Amino acid sequence: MIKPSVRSRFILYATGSYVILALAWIFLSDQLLSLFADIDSIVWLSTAKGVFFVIATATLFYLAMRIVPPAEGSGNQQLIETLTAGSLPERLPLWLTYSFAVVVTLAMLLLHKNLPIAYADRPLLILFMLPVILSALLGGLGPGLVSTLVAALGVAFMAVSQTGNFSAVASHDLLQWGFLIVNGIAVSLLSEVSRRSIAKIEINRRLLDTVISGTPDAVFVKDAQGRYLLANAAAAGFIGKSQDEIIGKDDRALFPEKSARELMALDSAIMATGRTQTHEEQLKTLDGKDLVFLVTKGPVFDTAGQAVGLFGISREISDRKRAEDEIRQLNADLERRVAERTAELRAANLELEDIAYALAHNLRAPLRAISGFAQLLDEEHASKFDTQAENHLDQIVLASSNMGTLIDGILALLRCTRGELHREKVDISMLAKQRLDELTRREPDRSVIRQVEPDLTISGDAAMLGVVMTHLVDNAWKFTRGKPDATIRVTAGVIDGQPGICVADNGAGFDMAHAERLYQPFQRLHRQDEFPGIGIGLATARRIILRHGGELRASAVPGEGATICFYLPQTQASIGERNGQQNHSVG
Amino acid sequence: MGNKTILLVEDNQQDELLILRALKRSNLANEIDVVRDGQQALDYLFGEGEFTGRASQELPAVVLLDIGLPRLSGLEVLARLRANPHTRFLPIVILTSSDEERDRLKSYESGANSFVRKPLDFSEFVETVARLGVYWLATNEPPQG
Repeated sequence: MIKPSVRSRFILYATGSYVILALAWIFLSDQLLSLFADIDSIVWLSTAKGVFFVIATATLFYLAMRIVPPAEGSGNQQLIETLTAGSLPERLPLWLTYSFAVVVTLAMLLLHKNLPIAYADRPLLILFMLPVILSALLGGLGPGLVSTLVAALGVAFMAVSQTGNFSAVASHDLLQWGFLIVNGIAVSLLSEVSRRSIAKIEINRRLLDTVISGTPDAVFVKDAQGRYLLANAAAAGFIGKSQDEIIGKDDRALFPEKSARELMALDSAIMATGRTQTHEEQLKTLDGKDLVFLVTKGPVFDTAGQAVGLFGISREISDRKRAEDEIRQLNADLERRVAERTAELRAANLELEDIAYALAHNLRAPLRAISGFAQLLDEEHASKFDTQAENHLDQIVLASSNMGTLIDGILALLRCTRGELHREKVDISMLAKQRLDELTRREPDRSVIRQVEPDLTISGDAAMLGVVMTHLVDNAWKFTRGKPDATIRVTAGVIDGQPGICVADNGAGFDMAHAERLYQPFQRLHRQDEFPGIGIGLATARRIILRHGGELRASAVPGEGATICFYLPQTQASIGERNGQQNHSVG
Repeated sequence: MGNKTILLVEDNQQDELLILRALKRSNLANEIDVVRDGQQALDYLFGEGEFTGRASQELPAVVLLDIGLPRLSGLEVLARLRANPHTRFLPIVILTSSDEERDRLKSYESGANSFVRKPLDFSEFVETVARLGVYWLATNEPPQG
């Protein structure tokens, strides 16, 4: 079932009212004309009443059109009416208003009947407008109409009871009677309309009031001079004064001077620009509280579009703000602590490296002495030793030599990442070829198939990458020893999804289960008598690559070969770069 | 005929012995004076302190100078010698275990004539020292006759 909308009901009522009023007018005005005898007056009056009718109806038409309720939103209106049904201004009970209409009209009839007879020739029906107006004001359309009806019927009854025949009543009395009815209806209708619009305004006002007084946000309106026109309970709570104390005052009376000055400056700016804006406000209240608000402020315009005031809605976010600040503070503390720890760790690490470096370095002198004097013994006092003693001497010299190699290896490993990293374009293909040429020159008897992809370039430290390529090519060279079709390939490759460089061989390879050990200094996956070495090459290469912020990985199959790939990030940022250089003076 | 002395500034006695031994093999051993720290080296060259009265006009043909020395470091000694007109052109060879690029650069910057790393291997060491001795005593022309 569809309820007729407010709009269609309005149109129906307006049209119905027009029909009744127009018919009544035609009837009554024609009666009015019949009072005149000469045809000229009748014609003139007829034109005048026509013009009057057109002007009156046109005015009413205009007014009616203005207040036609909108087609859409009527549902909303009903919803609002439903929501606020309980909060509407109380209507008097129907029985009371209707009884009042009847009683007051009857009382007027009684009064009218008992009026001095001198008035008899003028029925003074205008008197009955009083009960009609009172009834309509009190009860609206219904009681107004009832009062009109009672008055009209009462008058008619009295006329009939006096003359015995209603039609015998003088025509001007009949005219008055007719006007009474029409006026009564008009007053009742007007009264109903005004009652309804008052009720509607009341609904809106109450809705607004509920929202404004119910919200925990401060809501306020100020005039152009910054005086508060409205401030809700929440606003009063924040300010620390009652609403009555706030209304009519400006911020200077409500906030400490500094806050007030800032507030009023901002308000003027908003009224000047005419734009609504949302921002954070920090306020000190008169009782010393520091509050933070998220505030939306905007201008209030008059009908001419002039900003005549300002509205504001402020949400207190002090707690949230405090929590945010705390989190920010905690984060900053955490970051600072992490930075401190990192710096400490880095310093400790550097210190350890320095110690390792100095230690390795300082081992050289005693080592030189051991091997030197052993050799002197061997060379200059050989005649005093038997074969076994000489053998022992040889072992001392050999061990010293091995130790020397180890020391040089660890020094090279530590030294390779010291100092600043100078990034430039490095021709990897050329580095690989140079190293292969060098190895071929040293061992011309070995036949190794070389496949070096041309123009492999990468951005990094030229000296360090030279060390990397030397180690990788040397390893490939070493581990393909004894392979009949030894092949060393240097190609572009992909590692961790990044373009990089790979050095592959078909040599001895290794078991991937031990791959991690490859990167540790002095860890070896082959016996010394198979492939000699100290296990420093790959560790050094990886250290250089990591220093560049890149990554190096090895993969292999035992007996089939190994592939070592690395990439360097091709950006400026590189992790692990040291701040400043190390300074070592080791004599 | 110029002076044919070598001044060795070396605090490590084993290195000293090895150097002396190496020079001896090249028949240069009796041309060598040894001091053990930087201050001693300066006193020797300027005829001061314990070397008061030494004929300091007599400069050695070459100074073999270690870097890591007690009291005054080799680089400080080098700077003092270069600052004094008397020793401004004195041939000085830095003979050290250090392989630090900074030490090397600093040495040349301070006016060293040569920078030689002590080899770890004894044979190489002997050969290097011998070559140094021969070069600076026989081949090289000293600044003053």
